[in-house]
Amino acid sequence: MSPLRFGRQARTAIAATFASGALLCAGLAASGAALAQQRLPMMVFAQEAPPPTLDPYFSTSVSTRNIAMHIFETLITRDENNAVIPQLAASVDESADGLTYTFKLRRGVKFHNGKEMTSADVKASMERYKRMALQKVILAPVTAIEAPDAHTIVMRLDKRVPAFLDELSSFVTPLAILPADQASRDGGKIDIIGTGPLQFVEWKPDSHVRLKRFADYAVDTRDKGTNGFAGRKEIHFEQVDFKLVKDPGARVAGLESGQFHIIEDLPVPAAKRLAGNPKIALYDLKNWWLHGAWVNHAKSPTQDNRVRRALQIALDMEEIMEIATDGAYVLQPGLQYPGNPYYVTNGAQHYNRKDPEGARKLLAEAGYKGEELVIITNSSYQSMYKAAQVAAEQLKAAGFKVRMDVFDWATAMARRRDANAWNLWFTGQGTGPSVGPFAALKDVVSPQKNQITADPVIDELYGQLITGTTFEARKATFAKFQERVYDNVLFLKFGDLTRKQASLSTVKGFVPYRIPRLWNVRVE
Amino acid sequence: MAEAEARRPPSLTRRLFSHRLFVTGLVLFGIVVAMAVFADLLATAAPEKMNFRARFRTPEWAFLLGTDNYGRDIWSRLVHGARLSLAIGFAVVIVTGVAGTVIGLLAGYFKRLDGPLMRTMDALMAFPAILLAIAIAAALGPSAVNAVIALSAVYTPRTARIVRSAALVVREMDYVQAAIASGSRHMWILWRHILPNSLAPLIVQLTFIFAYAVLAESILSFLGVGPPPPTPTWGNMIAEGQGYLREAPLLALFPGIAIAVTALGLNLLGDGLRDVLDPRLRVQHG
Amino acid sequence: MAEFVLKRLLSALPVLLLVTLISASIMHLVPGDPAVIIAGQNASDAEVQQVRAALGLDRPFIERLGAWYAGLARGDLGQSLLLNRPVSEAIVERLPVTLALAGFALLLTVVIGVPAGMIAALRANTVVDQAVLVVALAGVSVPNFWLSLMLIVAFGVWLDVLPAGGYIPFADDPVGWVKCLILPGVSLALLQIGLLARITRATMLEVLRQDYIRTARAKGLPVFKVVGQHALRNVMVPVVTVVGISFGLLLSGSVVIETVYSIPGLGRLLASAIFGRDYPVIQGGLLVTAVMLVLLNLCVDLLYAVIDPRVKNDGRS
Repeated sequence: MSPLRFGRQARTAIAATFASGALLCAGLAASGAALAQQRLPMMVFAQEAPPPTLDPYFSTSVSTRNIAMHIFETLITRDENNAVIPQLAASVDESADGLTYTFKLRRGVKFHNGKEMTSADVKASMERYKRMALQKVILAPVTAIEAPDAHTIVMRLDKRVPAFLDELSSFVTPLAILPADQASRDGGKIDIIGTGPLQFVEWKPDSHVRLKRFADYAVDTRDKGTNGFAGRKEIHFEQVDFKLVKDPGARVAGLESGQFHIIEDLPVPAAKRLAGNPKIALYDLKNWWLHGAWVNHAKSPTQDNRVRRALQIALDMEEIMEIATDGAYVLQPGLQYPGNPYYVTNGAQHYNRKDPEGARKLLAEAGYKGEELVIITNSSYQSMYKAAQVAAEQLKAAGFKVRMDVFDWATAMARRRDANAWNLWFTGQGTGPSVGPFAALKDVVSPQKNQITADPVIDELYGQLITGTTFEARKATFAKFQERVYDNVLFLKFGDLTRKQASLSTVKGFVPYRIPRLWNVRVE
Repeated sequence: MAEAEARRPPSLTRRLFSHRLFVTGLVLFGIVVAMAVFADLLATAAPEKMNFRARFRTPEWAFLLGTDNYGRDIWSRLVHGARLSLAIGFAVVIVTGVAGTVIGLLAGYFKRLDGPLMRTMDALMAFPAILLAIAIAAALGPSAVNAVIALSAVYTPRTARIVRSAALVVREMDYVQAAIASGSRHMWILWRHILPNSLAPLIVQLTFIFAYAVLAESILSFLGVGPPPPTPTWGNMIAEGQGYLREAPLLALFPGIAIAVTALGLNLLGDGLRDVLDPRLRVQHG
Repeated sequence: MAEFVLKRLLSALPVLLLVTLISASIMHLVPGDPAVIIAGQNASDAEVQQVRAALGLDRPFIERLGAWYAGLARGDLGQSLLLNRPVSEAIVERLPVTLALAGFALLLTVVIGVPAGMIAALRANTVVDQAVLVVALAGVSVPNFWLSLMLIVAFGVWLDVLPAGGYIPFADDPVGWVKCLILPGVSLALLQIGLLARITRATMLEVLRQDYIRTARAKGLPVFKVVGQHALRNVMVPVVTVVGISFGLLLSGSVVIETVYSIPGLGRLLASAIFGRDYPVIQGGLLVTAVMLVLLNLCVDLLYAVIDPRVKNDGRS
């Protein structure tokens, strides 16, 4: 084709293309400048586990809570120091006899469907919670829920429960306020409509959960900024994506390439490697899990407390935690975390004794004849798996005959209910201790009694704990409770695990907490 | 196998040993077997011994291949890992060989059994192999024995198929038809005529199955449903090394090489056997 | 032909039924259920039991199986317990991804395997031949999940030229889509390249020995012309068979590869479903996989019969 044949036409076409291109660029630049002053389009958070459901009443899992606590809100909740504070409630009043609680609701709070929240919605939510929530036992003492006017809720109890507000503000299975028409819905079948600062858009399993900024969110002006699960929450993005990225290597790679703004749960070796990287900011979320193992009191040889004591004193917690967490841990004997008002160290004399010789003597005393000590751990949580391996070797060195069974999580959970299948069951307790003393290790209490055999002393102490009328009384009881856990070896505590999180260094305002709080976070 | 050899011309052994790839395979596999057999002598430390202060060491005199995140000597774990990995592979070969042969012979010889038996085998083969193995291992619990059962369930149908094909062919041969017509007992015919002539493809298949089994056991361990710790297998060494891939790639590197060498040796062996035993099999077998 | 197809499809039905029975029975024997996963790590036994009852998981096995078959008869594969959507939707979302991956791997397999096999045959019993054989066997011997991990470190981390995992849909970014598939495709293909190369080589050798080929070569016709016109057609028969079998193996091999590379395909869906005890997804997914394999085998047999009508249709060896 001769180049001259289409010469004129070609030149015109080229000129036109350039002109329109230039116009396009100018337009983009202009709108780009305008956009830069507005919110950024999207914040991407990469989380590890897919949420099994987005119905906050139907799960205790962290992956559900991470997302649900952005969509929903509760009447009362916990602040930065784990104290009870109001969120959707304007005020809370407890009667002198402790049998009546009156909540005044904030006005002008809107649901994502545009309707205003009233006491009818709160009443319906509570009724649904009482009917089918996993922790409905919290509302067991409630005999009546009344809504005398559109902004008042009254709860009547049949007996005094000093810890009632603590329980009601628990975030394990939060009492999220849903629209009244959701009351009859079964677990996992609600419409995802709440009052929170982010609104549900879509959920693509294996990929992401997408939320968008709720324009009519009623900001809680009582606080200056972030405060636990409550506070003044402002969203600085149009959209927030919770990306579901199971593989830790992929999460780290995504952060490094700028694909994600913030990631949950960074492996410790990666954190060490990224420590000097100016583009990445690292965070320590302390006290994420209390690592430990349940001890079976019904199965030989751990039915004998001398054998259990031998177990307890043989272990070197530093070695266990160092290898299990690659350095992200704190050793301390308490079942609550330091800084917590109920923090006590009773039982510390049995903790981290590192005394295999003493253990041998105890075993001889107890007449241990080499019965197999069965350890169950799981392949789903690497730190539990590693802790079990180290503990097994330490116990062998102390004279125990050890057999280790490794299962995937679902099987391990099923086996825990078989009293003949295990002596030690490795786990991590997280949410319980962080919610407070009533939930810290309450699984030793009947009827759950993870140690299989009921311990009447601990049951009695727990009863006293939740009915203690003053803080001092409750704290004293908790000290005895913790002492008993150690004395009777109901649970073996190894240490506290610190969770590592990371973000791009352009992310400002992110403060690690039990959930990744994406409000008041900016990207510069 | 000895019986088959005795019936054949004596140059079989000579032919095998002059086949270059067969010999290479034999040497490679032999090295691995030696590692497993002499593990106690070759290991420089107890494979489970943890050294808290010596974690993540690079190769040095005390730790020939370095140490892992528990401070355990990788070389010692590697040689001991050979034991369990090879033992499982061998056990799978035995179980698959017996079960596959029995089913294949019955299906190939007795027309009425062919349909139901092969349908069941087809159904088992319709599962993606690794999923079937995972499910069975998860159902039975993680242990070496259960891994053997799970893997045998996966490979028996394939073996049965091969034996059946051979049996079908042999059954139609004149002398077998004559034996049937003259009223010989079925078991005797199976044992005397069908089985020996089906052996060649079976043996070749079994060497490949050994290789598959070693590979598959490593996948099972990698996914967490293999033999439990602390006994090392190459698969669980890779699984444990996966978390440190960037920072300490050596943890996962050596066991992977070990598996590859073992499987390569076995595959070369099998190929050589096939070339020598029956060149026609080259086209038939997939 | 139509009769053949119909007969094959009908005879596949009992196999498919067996597949569903076997998968249900095995999963019934696996301890644990999805209720513990849904209820979360901190849930007490009572709370887990609540979830179990709410999902109907405490009904007897036979009853649940019956309900599933009843649904199947209506064309309904049920609702996933963990993924919050119908099983059929979950499968349909992921099938294209696995097919893309398997297709890509198959392309690599054919493009590398067939020529390699042909070269090995043309240079039979020379160093080239042996080299091809050893490399082919090495591909089959290397544990492909381990190789994937090594490849990720090499290309995804050190060299940083390819993504370390994940999947970008073609519609979003075609270039990214290709980049995502390269490493997993290579890992998958390695299994099959060796196989195909060796079969091609063996068949080529057989064909090259044929009289009419030798005549053509003796006549002085150039090698490639001879191969191209005469040998290739005959080579296609077993090659097609192996390609068909390979595709089936690729589909099952994708389970591990998708898991290692975090690719949201059918293989990974099934593996997670087994670990999460998501029974409807397992049942439905395994059935779909089995159906695909049956159809695949049927296509291969049809192709086989078409290419070489002399072949008897009593089943591949």
